[in-house]
Amino acid sequence: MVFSSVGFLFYFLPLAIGLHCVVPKSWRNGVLFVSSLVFYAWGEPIYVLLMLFSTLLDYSLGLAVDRWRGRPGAKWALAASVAINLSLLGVFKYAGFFVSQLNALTGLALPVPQLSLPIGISFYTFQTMSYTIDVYRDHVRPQRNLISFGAFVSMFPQLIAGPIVRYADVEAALYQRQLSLEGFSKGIWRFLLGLAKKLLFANAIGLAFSNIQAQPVEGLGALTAWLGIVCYFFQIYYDFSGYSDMAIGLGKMLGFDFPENFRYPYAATSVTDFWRRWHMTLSSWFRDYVYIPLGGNRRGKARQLFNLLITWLLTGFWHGASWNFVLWGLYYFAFLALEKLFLSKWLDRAPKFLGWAYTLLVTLVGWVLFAFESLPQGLAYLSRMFGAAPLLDAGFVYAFLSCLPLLVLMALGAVGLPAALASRWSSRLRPGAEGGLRLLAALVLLLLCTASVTAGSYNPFLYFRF
Amino acid sequence: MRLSRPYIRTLTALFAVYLLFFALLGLVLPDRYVSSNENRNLQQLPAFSWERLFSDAYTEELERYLSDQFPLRDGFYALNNELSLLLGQRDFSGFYLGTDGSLLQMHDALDAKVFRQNLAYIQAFASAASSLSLPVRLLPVPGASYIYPEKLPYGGKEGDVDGLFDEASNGAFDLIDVRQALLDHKQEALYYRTDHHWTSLGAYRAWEAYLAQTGRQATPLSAYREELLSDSFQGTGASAVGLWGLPTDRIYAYDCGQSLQLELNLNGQLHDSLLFRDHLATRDQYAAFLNGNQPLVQIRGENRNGQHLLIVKDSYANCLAQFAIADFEQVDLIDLRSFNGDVLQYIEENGVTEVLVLYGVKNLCEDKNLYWLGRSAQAWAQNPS
Repeated sequence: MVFSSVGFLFYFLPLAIGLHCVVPKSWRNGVLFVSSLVFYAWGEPIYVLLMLFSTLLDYSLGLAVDRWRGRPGAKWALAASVAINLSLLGVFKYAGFFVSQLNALTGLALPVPQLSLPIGISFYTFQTMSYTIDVYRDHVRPQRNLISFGAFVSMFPQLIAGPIVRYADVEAALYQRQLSLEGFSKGIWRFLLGLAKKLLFANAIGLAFSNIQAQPVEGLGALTAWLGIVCYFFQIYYDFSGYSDMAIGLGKMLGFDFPENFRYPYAATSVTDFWRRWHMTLSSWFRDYVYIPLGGNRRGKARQLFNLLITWLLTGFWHGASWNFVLWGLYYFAFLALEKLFLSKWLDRAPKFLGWAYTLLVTLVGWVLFAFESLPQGLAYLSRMFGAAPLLDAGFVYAFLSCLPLLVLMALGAVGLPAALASRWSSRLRPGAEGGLRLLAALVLLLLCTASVTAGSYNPFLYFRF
Repeated sequence: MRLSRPYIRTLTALFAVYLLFFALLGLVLPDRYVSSNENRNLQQLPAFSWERLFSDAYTEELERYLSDQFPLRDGFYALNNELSLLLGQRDFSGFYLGTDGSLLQMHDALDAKVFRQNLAYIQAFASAASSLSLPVRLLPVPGASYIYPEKLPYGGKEGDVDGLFDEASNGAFDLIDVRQALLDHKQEALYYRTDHHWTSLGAYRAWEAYLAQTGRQATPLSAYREELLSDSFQGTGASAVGLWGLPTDRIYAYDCGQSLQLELNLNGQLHDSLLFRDHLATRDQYAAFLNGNQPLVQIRGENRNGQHLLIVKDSYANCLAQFAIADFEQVDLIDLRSFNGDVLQYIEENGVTEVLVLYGVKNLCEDKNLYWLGRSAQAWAQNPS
């Protein structure tokens, strides 16, 4: 089920959250577990079994690690968890890619597996795996209640698109959580903001990008190519951070505090800074479970660069089973390495504006690699952006004017202007007025989001068109 | 952030009441079967079975059911588009929002390949028909945006309609080029503001040009009795754009004063009018002409000049028939999208004396049913009678 659907918003959400509020405290994890399974099974009636398998596996291995602590068995259990979780990912996410690469390399004609990607598998395998690792490291106590553990793994707010919630983030709340109207209303506000970011902004600007992407790349003028990637730049931020906002908001309604996932990444003044603000739960996951175990920066510059390289190869590959994501990871490795070597020092001395402009440019070009799964197409698109095309084509003016107001609003939002203004004004308003304004805004957002959700199914194309 | 008690309570209540209100309203309101705005059947409550549940079919249909049957769906569609308009969007579902408030069908992605294929079909058909010494002519109808480019939103780009006309003029059949005739009369209302069709007046100017370019003269417009059929028409453009406060159009019909006989699909029932006024009470008022798109329409008037015209057509011809019958003894209209017979065989059996292929330019770049003309020519070549 997706958040931006009538079924979720108007039926699943009130039912699941309402039920969670009214049942006795000891039932809450049960309600959360069952509703999450329904949520997942709605779109993936078969793959829900895979998630249950993963749940059961790490539940048992976590207990095993704890039981054999200090003995070899603990290591074996840990190794089993890592191996099996990575194999799940390997089979369901990467098998097709690996086999077709093998075929291309060796001239074999092995049948390429055509498995559809189970939704959220990249997120929940990382969560369960890091749980067992954390138990091994004695960072968390193992969860003995299977239902509570199941609620952690399958928790519907963050199941599909993160943030990557680690067991330690929710451990206390799984045992005991206080539901308050205050937390609930904060959750509602956060959820609405996220829903609006996704539906009203990301989807709208996404349409502009796909219109440009659909055109043959040879016909694109340079300005249109730039416009397209700027649209994508905002689409992916509003879409992804909108999802995270919705997850965090839903979490609050259920009494959880999920970690933040975005902190105005497009205001970053270096690439290093960008990755401290973008998909924070993923970058910290790779830091804690890959980069630091490899030795981090404690074994000299050369080894640090190697660790960085491995980390970013994997980060890129995590985003999808395709070479463009690997290249995208390597691309960021290059800039992060340069910054570690000398660029950071330069940037520190340069005006802030310069660092910001450099970071924006790096991210924009990075999104081209990310957006086109076919590398030749992505490179062709890049060449249109950088000189291999006339500046203007026939469609640019119209396309630009049609999304200009949206782009301006999204740009202001992406650097945090609305939040800054709101906090500035709220101190000047009478106490009741801010609440009133927020209520009005909430109602307007609800109406507009409803309009957007229902308009998605509207298809006036079919209307007596002959 | 300091949150006051009343705010916390009211926001929570607002959220809960809003969701539950629409959820319950959706359950209580009777389901609709048809969306007249979209001209399609709406999803009904799907039947449950375990098999369909596991194959995703059930949940998909249930999801579609919930959004298709959502309360106030048309109103929310308008709200959604109003917001898009505010954020800069200037075309909706294939229609430009014109600078004067009219809605112009977009001709921005014309598929020249389909167009060429269609020309080839017409060409094959024309050469087969020449063995019957029957003239075949093509009349492509340009869209409103071609005649009124100044109404396009700033920067709005249209496909190369002139290029298509150039290609069509190289065919082995006569091209009836109505571009100039329409441009000359552009101060008249030649197209509806809320629909992709031309008005009756637009059709008349094209008809006039057709006869002029083939050395004849059309009955003057003043000889017809003009009748206002509707002043509340909102066509395909209005449905697509779905904004609030869209204009309405007037539909006029022209009566040549002859007593007419119209038969649909050889069903034996004779009508004495080209108009089917029942449609004026529905959304699709344009269907008042010839009862919408019918596979075969045959019209006989009082002329006894032996002239028998066959129009192979899309819906643009529906409002042109009222003028054609004033100058011909018989006018037949065939819609290849639903006509089952062989066109050349029909021509031979019914004594047709000339053929006009009349399509909107956009349809000529999309419609694949002209294949049946090529097919008919092929059958003719193999088995000429």
